Amino acid sequence: MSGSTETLDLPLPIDADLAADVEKQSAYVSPEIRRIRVRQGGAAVVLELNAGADAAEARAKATRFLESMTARHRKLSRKVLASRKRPASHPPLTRNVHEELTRRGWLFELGRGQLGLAGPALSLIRVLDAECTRMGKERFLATEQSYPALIPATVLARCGYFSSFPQSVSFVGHLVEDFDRIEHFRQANLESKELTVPDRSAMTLEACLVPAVCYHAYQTLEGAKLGETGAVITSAGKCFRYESSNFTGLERLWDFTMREVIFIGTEAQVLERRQSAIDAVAEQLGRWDLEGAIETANDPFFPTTYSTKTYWQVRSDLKFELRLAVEPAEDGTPRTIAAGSFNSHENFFGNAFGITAADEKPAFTACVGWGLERWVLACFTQHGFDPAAWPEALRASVFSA
Amino acid sequence: MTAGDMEERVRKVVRRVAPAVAEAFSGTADLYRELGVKSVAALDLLLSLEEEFKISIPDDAFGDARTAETLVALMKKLGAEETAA
Repeated sequence: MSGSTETLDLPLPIDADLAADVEKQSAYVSPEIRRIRVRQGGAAVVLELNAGADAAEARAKATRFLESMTARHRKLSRKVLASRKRPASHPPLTRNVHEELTRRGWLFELGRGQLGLAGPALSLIRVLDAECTRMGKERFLATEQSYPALIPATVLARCGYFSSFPQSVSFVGHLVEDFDRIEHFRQANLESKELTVPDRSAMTLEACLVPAVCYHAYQTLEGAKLGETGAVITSAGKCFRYESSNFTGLERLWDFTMREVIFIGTEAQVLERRQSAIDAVAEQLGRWDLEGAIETANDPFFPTTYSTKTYWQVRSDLKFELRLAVEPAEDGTPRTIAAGSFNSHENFFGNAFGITAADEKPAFTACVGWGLERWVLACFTQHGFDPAAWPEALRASVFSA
Repeated sequence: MTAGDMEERVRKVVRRVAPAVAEAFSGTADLYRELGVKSVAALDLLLSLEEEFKISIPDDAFGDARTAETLVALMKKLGAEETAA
């Protein structure tokens, strides 16, 4: 690929966790920067520029980005709550899972970050979802609800999404109700094989594609006064997060499936239930014979708010992720992906939606989420394509359909 | 430096990062839950206290110090008195 590189020294070396976030967030720095890689043990970064890029401008923008991400970063200790290793007797992790799923017709790419599943891959995602739903209902007496893929932009604003993750929003627009302007658009697309938007001012943004399942749950409880037992809801749905150049097969999708169990109640109630969900997911690792770990994590906040929000999140134990082992990097470095998360939001949503807990205070909320396509990737990576190698708890339902 | 002086210096820092709550900053009220300091201001508060008192504050200790009383006590424990102007 043509282009050039620029090296920038960092004022202070950064650790591996921050380096990973810097590389991921670098997708949003500039259309002229293909990517940014952290090098020299965290002491410098290399900007990979597109051909013809204005190097001085790219460098200035990258400097502002790096300043935002690193200048006030405070490294905090991270906890591992549970972990499970694969027995040494297991065969090595399967490589090229995406290609093999595609070759078998169990996976098809339909667009950037847009995949379809069939065969055992589809059976697996359904089995996993059913198991997580059952866990939510049996362990937490969760009520099941279904939600739209759309969420009103005003609701997402109240959830603080635009100020925390503006880079990930998927907006849903439509043409304004204006005969002439709609006809103008129609004419422009008469012979076009691609979308042509002759006048962007004729489009209006009203809704967004939902980036997480739980936001709707809080909306359904707006103004509610909860009883002694609080509320537990489970729901699954498609979620949408724009990930730019980070889209990678089943690993990082624009359009993915998430099952959640959502807890609403007093602080003690919600934290106890989140801990119980952590225990339950650790049990899933054993039942499904998977290697993974549940550990401290932070959300991909936009760089200008990254340091302050990450600090609070990590310091207060607000987020843990389940990371599952997937195929190693080309150089053999072990890799994991976040396939589940356990989030505490303190009383943010209780305040935002006027939900009162049994103790008369704004409700606390927490949720556990399973990113199901990532579980599919991890299962095929760890168990391979021979049904005999799969754990009994999954084998029949995945391969018999 | 008296306890009152120390509290005033800590309040000065609080005023800088969360102006609306500085006057209510006293006693055992929780800064974040009761006085309304936004969670995103916590890192600012930590870094500003370190700068003001020229000390390094352990994150665990800062995490536990959520009231005027405990913050002032923490500054004293960390030796902020000796470096006070």
